Amino acid sequence: MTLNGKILLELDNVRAYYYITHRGVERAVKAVDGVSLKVYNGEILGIIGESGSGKSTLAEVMMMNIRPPLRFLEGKVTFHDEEEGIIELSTKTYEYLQNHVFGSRIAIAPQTAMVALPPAHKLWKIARDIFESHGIVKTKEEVVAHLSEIFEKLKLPPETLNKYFFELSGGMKQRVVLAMSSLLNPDILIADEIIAALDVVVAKTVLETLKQIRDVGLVSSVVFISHDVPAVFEVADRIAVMYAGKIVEIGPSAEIARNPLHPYTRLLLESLVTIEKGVERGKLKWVPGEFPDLSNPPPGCRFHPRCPFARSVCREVIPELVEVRPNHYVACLMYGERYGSSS
Amino acid sequence: MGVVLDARNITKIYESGFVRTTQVKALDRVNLRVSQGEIISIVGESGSGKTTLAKIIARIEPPTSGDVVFLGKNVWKDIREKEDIKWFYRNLNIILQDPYAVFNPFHKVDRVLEIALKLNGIDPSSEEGKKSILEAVKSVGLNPQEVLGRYPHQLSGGQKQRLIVARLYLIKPKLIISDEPVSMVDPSLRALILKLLVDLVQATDSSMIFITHDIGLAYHVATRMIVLYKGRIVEEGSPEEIVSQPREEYTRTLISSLPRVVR
Repeated sequence: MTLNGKILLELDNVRAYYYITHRGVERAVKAVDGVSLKVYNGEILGIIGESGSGKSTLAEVMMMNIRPPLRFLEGKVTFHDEEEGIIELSTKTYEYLQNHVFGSRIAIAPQTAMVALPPAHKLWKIARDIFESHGIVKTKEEVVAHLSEIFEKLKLPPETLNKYFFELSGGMKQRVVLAMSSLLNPDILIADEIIAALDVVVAKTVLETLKQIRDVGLVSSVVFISHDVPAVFEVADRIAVMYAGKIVEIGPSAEIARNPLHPYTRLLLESLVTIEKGVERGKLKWVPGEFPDLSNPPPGCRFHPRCPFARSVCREVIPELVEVRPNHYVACLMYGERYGSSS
Repeated sequence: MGVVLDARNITKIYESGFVRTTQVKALDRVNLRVSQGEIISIVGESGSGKTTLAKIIARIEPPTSGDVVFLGKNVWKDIREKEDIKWFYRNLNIILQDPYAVFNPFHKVDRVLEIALKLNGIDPSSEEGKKSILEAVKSVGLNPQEVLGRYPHQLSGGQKQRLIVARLYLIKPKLIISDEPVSMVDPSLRALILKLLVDLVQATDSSMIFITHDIGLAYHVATRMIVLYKGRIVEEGSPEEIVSQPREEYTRTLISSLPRVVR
């Protein structure tokens, strides 16, 4: 992975809130609040965080799939295309995105993979429909040839092509959904919680497939969103830690595993119930306190009510991401002071 | 320590099809004995028969053959009368994958605790009842003023989980069967609910069967671990033994499949 490589997608200070009206009172749920992020060519970027921290909303924002009650408030989402140069997705119409971005440049393998594909069509027919919806007309032979090539690359059994979606096992469904989302050779594949419902043995095969999709070049980059922290560390080159709508730490995954900087990242890694060396049996730790309400997040650093190192200044100042080590950024005032706020 | 549960030679065969019947052996001569104070973890992947075993023990689904003896009574032969069934479920409690399902969204969370008290024949509006509800809520680290009198949607996930354990403090079952209790729970809170369950078993002199596919979770809570594969027990022993020196190939697969954070 080259960090100095080409940028594919860039988010610049993006804010996207859900607006929910209840009994005439409108409130904003600040799900993505001032996020800046780059996706580089060739990388697997992992996004971790608790349920409700805004991970899936961030995925929607990355492809500008903004539908009510979600509203895009400010910021810029740009896609760096080899031929067409920089495309500012955040200014495009939904129709343009549907024709030129969704599926072809940025694809998503959704959380709902178990019901993602129509059950009453054979897989090759679904693939033909996907091509048709993007204006590509292919004969049955062509579709089957194309799909079997992808299935072969991902080591999926070729006879699956002629099966119905409902016939597949849970793990196979996930792997097929991954294969289908890379059908149009998108540049970026966003995989949102694809292993949440699977047991560990099956989950491992799905993670392998996810890596293969990038390795064999079906997609250039992968954004892997999950609350299963160890799984993300297994496959990702770089990891962004999200807390309450903000990115609090981002850096190479090996670096974050060895040297987590943000107090939240540290507590999150300590709370994992694993059998790794150095973890004492029965010694269970968790992140103290409660996750904040995103319609009324705490002022200053959003983590301060749960942070063991919080000082009074944390209640007032919103920390910015600063580069503490090469390519390793953290948004915490503990580091801002020491290293200056050059980002 | 007394034996709470003794399941002997449990076999379960599922039949499907009408004209041509196919048979699936979900459980094959499984023996399981649980003593007071033990936390026995049953580990295996989907389809290994973990949940089937739990259902047979909990008197939800009958075994094809074999006997389940719970506190001296044969679950599938002796427990037939209404009174016996009541007695059975007072002493055996189940936590399922969706732990929040115990809450009715239209009722205050107090109701869950009050029903638990009534099971043991205590009137929740009496002095004694009120006192035990407060004690139970406190024993799981909650402030009664913050949670009592509220509706489920007004509480956070962590608070609800603690209340589910508080409910068990009131029922005081002799055996708790928990089937993947944290699979839907965020990793940052998983450790918390596991700790609460372990504390509960110790504080109330209960025992637990902890079913999971994640050998990592089992390692931290269990006093004894059982690996189930295709309906058979393939390995049994202390968590340290099984994790550090697995004898079976299948156990090694379960351990190596766990994703890790390489530090």
